[in-house]
Amino acid sequence: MGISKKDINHTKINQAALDFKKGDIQSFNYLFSYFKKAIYRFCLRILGDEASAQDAFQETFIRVYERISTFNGGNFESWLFITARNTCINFIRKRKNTQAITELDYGFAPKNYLKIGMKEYIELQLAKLPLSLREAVVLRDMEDFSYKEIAEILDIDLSLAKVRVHRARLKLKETLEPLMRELNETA
Amino acid sequence: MKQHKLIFRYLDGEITREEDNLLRDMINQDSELKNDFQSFVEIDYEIQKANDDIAYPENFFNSVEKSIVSRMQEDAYLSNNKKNRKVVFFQYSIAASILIFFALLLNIDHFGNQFTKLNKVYTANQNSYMMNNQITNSEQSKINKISAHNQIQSIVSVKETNTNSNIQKGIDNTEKNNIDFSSLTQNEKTSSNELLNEPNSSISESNHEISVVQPSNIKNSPGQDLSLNNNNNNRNNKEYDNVQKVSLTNDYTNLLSGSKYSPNFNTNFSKVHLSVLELNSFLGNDFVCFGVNKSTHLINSFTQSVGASIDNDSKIGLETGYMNFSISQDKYVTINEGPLSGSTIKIENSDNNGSILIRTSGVSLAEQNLFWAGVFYERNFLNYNNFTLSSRLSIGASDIGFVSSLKFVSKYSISKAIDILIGADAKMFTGGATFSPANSNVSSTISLIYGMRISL
Repeated sequence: MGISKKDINHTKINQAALDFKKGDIQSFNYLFSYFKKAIYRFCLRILGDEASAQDAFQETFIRVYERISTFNGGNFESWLFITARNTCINFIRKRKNTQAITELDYGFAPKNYLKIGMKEYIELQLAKLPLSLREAVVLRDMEDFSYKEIAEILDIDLSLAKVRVHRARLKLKETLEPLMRELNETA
Repeated sequence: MKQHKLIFRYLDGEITREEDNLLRDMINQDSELKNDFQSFVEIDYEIQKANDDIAYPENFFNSVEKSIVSRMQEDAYLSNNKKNRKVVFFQYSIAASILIFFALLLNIDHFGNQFTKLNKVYTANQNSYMMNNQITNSEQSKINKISAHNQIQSIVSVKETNTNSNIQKGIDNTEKNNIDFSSLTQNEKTSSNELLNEPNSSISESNHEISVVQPSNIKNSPGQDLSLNNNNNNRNNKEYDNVQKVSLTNDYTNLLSGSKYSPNFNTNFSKVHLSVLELNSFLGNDFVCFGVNKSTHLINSFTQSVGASIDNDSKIGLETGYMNFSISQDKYVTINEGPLSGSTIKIENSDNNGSILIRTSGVSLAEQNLFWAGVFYERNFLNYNNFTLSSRLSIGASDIGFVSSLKFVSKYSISKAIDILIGADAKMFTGGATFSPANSNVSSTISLIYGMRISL
């Protein structure tokens, strides 16, 4: 089961983050086990392949440890995802040297799809979204962040965060709707 | 578009009851919107469900977690070491402060010696003062003598006037009886008696001369007045001294009364001892290192000091400095306890949830700065024109332990206030083992030093 935002006890997490800041290893263990899957999913969906996602995941938590002293006691989850996003963007920038820009604009599709079901197709279409829309919809629909948190993580206005999420949903509907209808008809 | 906004508010769980009713009415009236709504809901459901189907690399997660925990433990270990070093630094600082305090006390004692010297001078002056009083008394007796002699002279004159008149003996006796001999010495009395009783021996009737000692000749007439002469000799010998001693006596009196020399200790301290202040700055380049490695920095040490002369050739003062060097630092790794099966490690007596921090065989070089402060004693041992050779011994405490330094410095004076310096500095310090148990506890460097000195 993935983490659910409704279950998150923000107070407990932030307290653990402050303890982690003081060097408490148990607090780090708690935070790591709490967020590891969400961060990995986020990295995977932003970067599109497992190897890059794992690299970005490791880099994210190392950065978190190295920069925990700059955490000022606010929303640790947002702060963690900001770090993950920045790490992923750095990975994408490194790739730009070897990849065509047009390909980057539509993300990186997983290569080894032998059987494409609905889940894989969603991931495929998600990966084809522009990065700005992809990260917005991943944070909203897959990680259950509020628009305010999305705006904070993406460092954009609240209204722009909403616009990006809505555009991403419309695009996904355009690409996924035919398959959805086909599946519904066969069912 | 408004319909889509309502659908998105529904998907986000932000739709109000009125909006919900409105959306339902619109869906019931528009079949295309109904299809769109169904697609959005299904896609949203599939997207959320997609999270559950992801295969997570748990082993990879564990390795990342352990590596970061290991790093945290290593950093905590080094941080504790750093804290311990700070504690040691403060301990040594306190010890250095105590040393400085005692050094100041020694100088107070030195000042006390000066005070004792002044006391001795005062005692001598007291003696001289008494001598002066004796001399003054002698002078008074001399004046009495002169007065007596004047009386004698006047008597003699009377006698001379009446020589040819054959003054009766009774009159002479009467005159003689009127003279006050009480203040005369035995010689004078004798002399006076001789004068009075035996006029022929000292008064020449032919030329009416009388051998009366004149006041101006009293001092320089040996045999005339032995005691007076002795007093005069004493006075002549001590005359210069007495002037000085009386002056010193006055000074000492002033000292006691606080008019010239203030009884305030600090004022006297600075007047008596710390006459010249000097500021020194040295830069250093290591050329030999023992126990540590030479740093890659261009300048390896910087020393600054302020000192004061305690005599012509010696100085004491405070010295601070920093030095950098390269040390071999140990590498640490955390071994975590695995599941108790197969070839895993069982860790006992561990306080860290089944993990232990151990030192590996590998080392890495790390630049290290060392700040220190202490006291120094400097002594000149050769002066030749503008050149001076001196040695300086310093002891102090650093943030990691004890530091001592021996410098040999040649100084060339380019003006009254500014000297340029060049020399060698041998430092010995503890703390190398703090960074790595493999290092020696005592390290040493020999450096070329150069700098300048400003005298205030």
